[in-house]
Amino acid sequence: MTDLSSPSGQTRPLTFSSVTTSMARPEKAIDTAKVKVEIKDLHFHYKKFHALKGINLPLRDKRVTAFIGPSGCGKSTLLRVLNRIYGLYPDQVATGQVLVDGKNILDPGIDLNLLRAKIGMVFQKPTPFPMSIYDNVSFGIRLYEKLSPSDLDERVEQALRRAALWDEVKDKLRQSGLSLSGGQQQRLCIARGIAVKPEILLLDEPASALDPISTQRIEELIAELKSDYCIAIVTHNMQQAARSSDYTAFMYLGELIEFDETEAIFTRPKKKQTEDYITGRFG
Amino acid sequence: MASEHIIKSYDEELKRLNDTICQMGGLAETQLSAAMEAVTKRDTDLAAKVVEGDRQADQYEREVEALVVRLLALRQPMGRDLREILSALKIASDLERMCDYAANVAKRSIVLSHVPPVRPAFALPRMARLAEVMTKDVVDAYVERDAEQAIDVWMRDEEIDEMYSSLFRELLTYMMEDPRNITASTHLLFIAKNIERIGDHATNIAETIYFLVNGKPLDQIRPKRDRTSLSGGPDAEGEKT
Repeated sequence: MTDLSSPSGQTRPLTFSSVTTSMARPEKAIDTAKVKVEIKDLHFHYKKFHALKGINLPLRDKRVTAFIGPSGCGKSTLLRVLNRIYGLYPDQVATGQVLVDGKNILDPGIDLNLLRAKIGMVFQKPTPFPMSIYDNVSFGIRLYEKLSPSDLDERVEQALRRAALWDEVKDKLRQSGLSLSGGQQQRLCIARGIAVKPEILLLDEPASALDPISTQRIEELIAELKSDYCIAIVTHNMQQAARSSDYTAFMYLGELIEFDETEAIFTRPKKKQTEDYITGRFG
Repeated sequence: MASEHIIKSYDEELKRLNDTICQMGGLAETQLSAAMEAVTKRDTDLAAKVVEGDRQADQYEREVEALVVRLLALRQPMGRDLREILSALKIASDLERMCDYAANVAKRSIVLSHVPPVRPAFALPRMARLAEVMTKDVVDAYVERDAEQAIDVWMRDEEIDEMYSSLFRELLTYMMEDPRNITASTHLLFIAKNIERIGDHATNIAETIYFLVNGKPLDQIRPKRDRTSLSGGPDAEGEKT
């Protein structure tokens, strides 16, 4: 006779407590990290082209903020405003405010050299200087500080270690920076960027030209560096933004469409445009 | 579903997932109604068919699992797509359990048809009917991605719980009246419990639909009226809340 003492597979204990819904997420505490950069009503023009239209956004210290959006949406422009590289071109005008530690860096009176020592930048293509690995890293330090040779050695080693490159280059510091692989060159640029002890790090598609392993090294590095810097990263790789950032800003046609915690942007965005973009429905 | 992806094959895979869930939902409905018909008509052939039909449910569930794994691995879904895929996986496992319970009802109906009938427990077919309608409505809510209809189903489970409680007391009374009723009554009790569980799974699906549509869990507390697990006898205190 069939054993019917219990319905098939009914092994769960009988509980009649209140229904607990699944997929619940723990409530997140409010982020207490201080706002390092406050962007207020920022507009940017390339001649007559209105590239940024009233951007308002905080960048928090010791957090990674990712910028995503289709090509031409203004992500890179925004980064270029943050260290005022645009100032090299006469037809480019930014209006509004970008407050770094409360000081407006768009102010014409600001010392650009000091600003750029405070804000490091790494570009899409690795851009090592045509000089030795050692000189690539020490170049910026020498500009701002007078250090003894041994102190300088130490700073170079520190920067290369932080950029996870030391073990690979310690025996060939006098070789040209250009002799390294693409991934190593990019990490060299990051080492160069952090050697001057900046406070803010701007990364413009730092891994887009790299293979998956180098990409992961860079991402690991971002996670490492986060404990000391305020980091802004522009990326076309949505998984990369999702993996490596705390906050994500979605931009489209020069406007900031949505800004939120990264988890919220990628699991339950509030705006339809964001949803369409991250799920690959953008027309 | 929302507008189309740039990559067409992604849409096709999501549609296949959706269609498989809908077919599974249809199967759960027919399995339950056939199982109840086997009980009321004492039809052992029909019962055997229902038991056999459960394999199809398992097959569907495996298909859904394979599709979900494929989608997660190949598409790196985000936002609504991710919820669609996770929800399908959860709903498939709920529907598979519902089909298991229906098959168990059918198995018990075969035993029941070999013993003299007890006084008909009127609440049983009504309860089964209610579970069937809940199943149908929750599958419809899934097809339409209608969170309000899902909540409506979710609230209705209370009624099934109440029916189960009264049936529980009724059957205990039969058993006390005449020990010869015990075999049949016990099977009926398990059948009722199975149906009550089917209602619970329908409410799980309703919660999943709510999450799918709104991107956040349904965090209200549903009223629960089935207190039989705490009850000592047909006239024990504290059965009603």
